[in-house]
Amino acid sequence: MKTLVIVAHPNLEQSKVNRTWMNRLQQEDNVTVHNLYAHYPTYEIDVKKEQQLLLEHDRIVFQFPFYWYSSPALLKQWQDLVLTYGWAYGSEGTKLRGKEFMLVISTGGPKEAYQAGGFNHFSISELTKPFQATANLTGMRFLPTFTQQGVRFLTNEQVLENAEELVCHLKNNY
Amino acid sequence: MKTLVIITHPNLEQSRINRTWMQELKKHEEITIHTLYQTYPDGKINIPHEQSLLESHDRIILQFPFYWYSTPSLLKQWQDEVLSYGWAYGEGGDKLHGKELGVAISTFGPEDSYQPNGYNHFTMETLTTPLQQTSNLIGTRFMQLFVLNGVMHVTDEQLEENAKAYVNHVLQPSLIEAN
Repeated sequence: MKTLVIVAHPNLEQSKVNRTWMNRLQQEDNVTVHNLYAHYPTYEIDVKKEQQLLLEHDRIVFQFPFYWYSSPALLKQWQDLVLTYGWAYGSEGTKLRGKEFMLVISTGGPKEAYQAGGFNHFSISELTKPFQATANLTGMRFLPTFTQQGVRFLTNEQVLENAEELVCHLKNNY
Repeated sequence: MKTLVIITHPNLEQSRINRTWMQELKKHEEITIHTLYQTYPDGKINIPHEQSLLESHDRIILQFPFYWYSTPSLLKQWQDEVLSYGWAYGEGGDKLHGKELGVAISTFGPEDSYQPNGYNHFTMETLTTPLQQTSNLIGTRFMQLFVLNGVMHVTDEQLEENAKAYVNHVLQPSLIEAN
């Protein structure tokens, strides 16, 4: 099985968690790491190339920091442009059908903030329903999300440990 | 009360619903209309200008077609860049506190698709949770959703009525003063 990890972080050099995750995943066989902001600094996405990448992989992963309870803007642009009618959805749009889809998300807020009564009121599962609906419409199976929360309070050791957990989560059978 | 409607549609001229909504809004001088893709065709958002627009209005409506169960990408970029730490949230980030935030959304899928047993599985309320929580974090009062589903099957008469209902929604009395 081939896994494509689409990394979307506008300041990857300054990011501790997302950079560590990306570097660790690059060491894995059968995992393609695709750094979106590095490829498209001017937001001009090569739709054909992105669609070809998707076709070549079985499990599609979005890795990103949670910005306003969603993906950073370039990853939204990617969704709007790459997942086209007649290709990803609609009666003829069957190209992603049968693939698997996973989210890998870092959040600044701690885990306990993401629940009823917490600072952010809603859980990650609730806030990522648009992605789950996207997986449904394109015929991909939505897999459990990997999250690392409260990222500002992590030690370097914890980030490295967490990257190992990510590899297990990413390679697991669901 | 001053109302700002931020319209985000990449092809507004070809859009039947969003253009009709905009034309109806334009009949009311007290509404400020701001079209995001037309203002920033190169995607370079003028952040101080946007922040000053927000500060000078009491009610902010985000109007857009539903793209992948969310906002079009330029409106996401607007959120990422304009709603900055220390301005809209976090320490000292109280510039939007006490304002009202609404969303007006057109969807291709019909109303009954946005139900547990429909093909989109989730309700509009569930899918707009990120926007509700954004409103919470920036300290605005979230208005009831204004939604027009199944846009391909809306007749001209229905659309005309709907546009009037939209303006009434946008111009409704302040939720905050009513308390």
